Formats: sequence, C-alpha cells, structure tokens
Amino acid sequence: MADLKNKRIITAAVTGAWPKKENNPNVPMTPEEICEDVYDCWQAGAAIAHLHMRDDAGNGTMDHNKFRETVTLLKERHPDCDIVLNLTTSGDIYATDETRVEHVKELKPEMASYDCGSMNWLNTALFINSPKFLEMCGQLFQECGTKPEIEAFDPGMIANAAYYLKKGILKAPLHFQFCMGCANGIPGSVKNLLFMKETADELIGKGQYTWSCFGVGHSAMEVMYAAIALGGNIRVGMEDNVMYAKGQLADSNRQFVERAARVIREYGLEVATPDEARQILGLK
Amino acid sequence: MSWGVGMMYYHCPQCGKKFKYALDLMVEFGDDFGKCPVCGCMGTYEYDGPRRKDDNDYFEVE
Repeated sequence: MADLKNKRIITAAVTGAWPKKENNPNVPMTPEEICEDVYDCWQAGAAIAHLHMRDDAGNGTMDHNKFRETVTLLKERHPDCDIVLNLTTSGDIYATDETRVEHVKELKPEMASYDCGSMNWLNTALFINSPKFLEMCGQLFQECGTKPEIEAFDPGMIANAAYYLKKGILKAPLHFQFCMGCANGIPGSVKNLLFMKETADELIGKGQYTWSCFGVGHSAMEVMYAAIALGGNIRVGMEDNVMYAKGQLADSNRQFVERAARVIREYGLEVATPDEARQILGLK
Repeated sequence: MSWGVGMMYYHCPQCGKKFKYALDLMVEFGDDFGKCPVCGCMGTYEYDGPRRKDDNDYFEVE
C-alpha cells in the first residue's frame, strides 16, 4: 500500500434529493440509473458513492426498498465494484426519524450521512435534525458499524459534532463533509473553507479527524482546489452541481469525477482507491 | 443533502428587463445584488428557486 498521506478520496454524490431531469436530463433517478452511474464513477476514480433515492415521481424518498434495490443491483451487476457506499439519512425533509434510518438498520452500510444540526432549507422548509434524532442516529450507527459522515453546513454544526463526541454519541476519528455554498449554509469560498477547517482543528484537534468538502455553484472549483491544497478530500457530482461549467450542463457524474481525479494528479497527489479510503477513514 | 445554486429572479421597474442573480454570488455583488444590469436601479423581485433550464429569457448577471 502506497503512502496514504498522498492519497485523496473522491466521493461521488450522483443524485441528491432535489435536482430533476428538468434541471439536467443526465441526473440518475431510478435504481438502475443510479447503479450504472455509481459504477461509472468508480471506474473513473471515485472511492465513495453518496446515495440518495427518488420515488417514481422523481421526488426524494427515504424508502428503504429503493435503497435495497439499488445496492442489490450494484452487487449483482457489478461484483467487481468495491466502492464504499455512503447512504443518506436526509433524502426527504418530510420523512419521519424512523424512516430516515430504516435502510441503515437493514443494509448496515459502511457509511451514512449525519447532518449535525438543523437549518432552513432552500428558503422553503425546515431541515430538522433534532437532538433526539442525532442521538438515536449516532447510537444506531455504532450498533451497525456504520461510519457517520458528518455533514456540516456551517461552523456551528462542527461544534455540535464536538459535543456529541464528548457525549459518546459519535466516536473518534470523526469524518466531516464541509457543505459549502448551499442556501442558508456557509457561502463557498477559500476563506470560509479555511475557517471551517480551523474550527474543526480547534474543536476536534488538528490531525484528529478527516474531512472532505464541496462547493455548489460558482464556488465548486474554488473549493475543490482549496481542499486539495489544504489536505482535504473532495466530493463532486450532480447532487451538488448540475452544471459542469458556465453555460454547460454536465454530461454525466463521471465527467465530474474525471476532472477531480485530474486535479488531484496534477497537484502531484494520487486518487485513493476504495480500500485506501477505508484505511484513511478507519472503516471496519 | 444539498442542491446547486439558488437563483433570484427580477425585472427592472424602469426598463422592464428581466434578469436573475445566483444566490451564491451575494457576497461578491454586495449592495449591487438585485440591481438591473442596464439601469442600475433595484429590481422588482419576482420569485426564487433552483436554476431552471428554460429561464433564458432572464439575463444572468455575473
């Protein structure tokens, strides 16, 4: 195994809960489409796939049957694909706390998202992650052997993660996903990414955690390059950006992964394989 | 959970031009965010939401 310090993990967030075919016809929506996109992204260098599901009308859903169908399809169609699966727990803001974790109980994924606080969502609705839910979720993840990917949309959510670490709800080493440039979250910029990292350094301890990040919209490239320079990992995909560049809709999720891999290699680093990602993140 | 750029759609109360701003550029534009790119006066807010593919009749101020 090569030196892991020089490895950077690419996470592919292929679908999300919001973008639809009318935003970009290439967003994968069905279990079949998501399965094939994940395989494509893995071939291009993604070590982690962050998965959301859609119902038959294309809306975000936490239906555990959809998660099972997609995961099963991937295993059956592509047994060579060893990508780390990271399943969302926040794919439908109207889902109950129980529904949000049903698939985790059943499938026991290697990773699942853990949104460490509540916020207004797209100026339209509440995205609620109550203390009760976060405690239940943290304990369940430990029981299932699932590593939380702590999504932090602002520095306060990093402080909240530190609180749950002290309480034993979360276990070290933590892994953060700094979500930048989302409406109502911290705007995406180098300055703000540095602030997020410094906040985590202070609260969790320098070198005591791992992190990844993404920027939506105009900040996507700025945040990606900054993450590489600051020692972080990166997330790309149509969950976060349906445009590949100004005025250019993305052709595929693979296109984003290929660019991220090029950036990592041009910087003189290497793209982590799924097994290397497992070592870096301490996955069981 | 995330989603790409939110857009804010306006028209100009003076010249009628339709235009839009990406919400994530609010920091860069500062006080100019929401102003008509032709007249410079503050636009009249119409609606906001995710970027639509069919919103080309709204000029994107960048």
